[in-house]
Amino acid sequence: MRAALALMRAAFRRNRRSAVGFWIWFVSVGLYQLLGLVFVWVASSRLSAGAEWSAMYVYGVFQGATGLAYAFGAWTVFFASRYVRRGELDALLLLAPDPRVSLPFANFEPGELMGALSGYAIALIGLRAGTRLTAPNAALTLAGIACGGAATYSLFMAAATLSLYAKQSSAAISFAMDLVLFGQYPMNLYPSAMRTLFTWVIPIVLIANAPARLIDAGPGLLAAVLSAAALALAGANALFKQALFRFIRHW
Amino acid sequence: MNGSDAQPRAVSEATATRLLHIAAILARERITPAWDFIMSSLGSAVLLIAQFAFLRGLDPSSDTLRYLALARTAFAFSGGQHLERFLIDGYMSGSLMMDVITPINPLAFIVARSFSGMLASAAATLPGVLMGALLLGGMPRMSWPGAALYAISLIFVWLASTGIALISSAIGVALKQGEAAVQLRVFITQLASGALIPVYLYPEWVQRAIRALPFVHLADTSVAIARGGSVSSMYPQIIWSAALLGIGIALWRRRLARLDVYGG
Repeated sequence: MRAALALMRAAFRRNRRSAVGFWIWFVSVGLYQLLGLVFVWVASSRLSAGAEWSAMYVYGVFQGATGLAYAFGAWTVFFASRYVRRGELDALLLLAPDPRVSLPFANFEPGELMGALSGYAIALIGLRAGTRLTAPNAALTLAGIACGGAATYSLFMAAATLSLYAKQSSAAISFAMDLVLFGQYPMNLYPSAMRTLFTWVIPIVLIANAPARLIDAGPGLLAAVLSAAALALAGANALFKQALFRFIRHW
Repeated sequence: MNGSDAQPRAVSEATATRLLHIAAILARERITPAWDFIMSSLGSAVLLIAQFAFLRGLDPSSDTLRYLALARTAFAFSGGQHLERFLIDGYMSGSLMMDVITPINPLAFIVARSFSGMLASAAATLPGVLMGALLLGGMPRMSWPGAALYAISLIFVWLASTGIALISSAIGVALKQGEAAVQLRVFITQLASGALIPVYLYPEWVQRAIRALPFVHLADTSVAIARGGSVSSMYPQIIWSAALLGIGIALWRRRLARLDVYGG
């Protein structure tokens, strides 16, 4: 844990920006978030009055969850195949902490954490618009974002594991990144075939749609979402560990 | 050739052929390695299908979907951020000096680069639009004259967006804030063109404001033309594209002259 925190502190120091650089970056992130938000808000409020708050809420939870996954999963998304191709993973394997811990913390991206925070703010604004903003709902939203983040991270990690088998697998990682975009809108609006696909075959529903339902559901769904996120994380980590052993054997 | 040679000059037939050849080479450069290009196109298709599915759920009549299929196709002909990034990065890093040292007019070379960006952007976007529209029942219906006018209007979309890219990159270079200029341009053109949200969905006062701006000619005007507009509805698009291109060229002519002074 100490090593993980030290790596994270180093990542924060590495990402320190000048005042001008910070504001330019801040406005860029803000504009990007605003673009998606305006799309969701205008389309849902004009085409289906009353749907806007839930669409905005799901969008906020999605931004929060994926922001969190990108913050800790930047290595899977951007670096995994590069590490293997250039042999950088070999050096990282010599680090004392477990690579499953050192990799996400060494490549921690504070900028993405800001994206996650703005996602949480959007979700809260959505709750406010739907007159459902209460302290328990705000807490459940935070729990939902954490679960969604774990599910997204697991998906990225499973895709990144492929790098240990095939060096040219960056395409699989970028496709996994694109695929999660199906999770940013309320899935009850999708055609039934797509709903089935993204619920039972590729469970993208776990990123934002299922966590977003926590505010209306009983403790049963909370337990299910928590265990699904934990299971996904454990499964992806086990997969990665096994692939890592194989990689080391062929070292 | 250097910046001071960037004077108005007739482009001969041989030069035009060379420019087309250069554009083809640049476009090929953008779509290789083929596997990476296919995967990134697949990524755009995924995002488009997700948005289309969301809109189909909100509007079962599919009107919005048909509008967006046409608007996204038109917007794809604007060429994305390719030209801006080339100009800003090239100017800031100095590599633009090398790029404009060619025996042809440097501005014509820049236009060839814009053309190649448009080809690559259209190739990346159109399969996704087609897939999304087919899957979700949002194929636009057009008469033959409407389709022909729509196709012609796409030329003016490209010219107008080339003008906008020249202007925004000139501003970005002047303020030394290239990334901010690109982000701001993307934000404004996406929201005010109709490529992301159909213009008719905005509140009345926003629609009035948007229709007074030139960005609407990057998508919405072409959609209106395809849906039964006449040749006269293309006039504002033609005038705006000429004006934007004229301003953009004037700004970059000055910039290239400055490169000449600093470059020696």
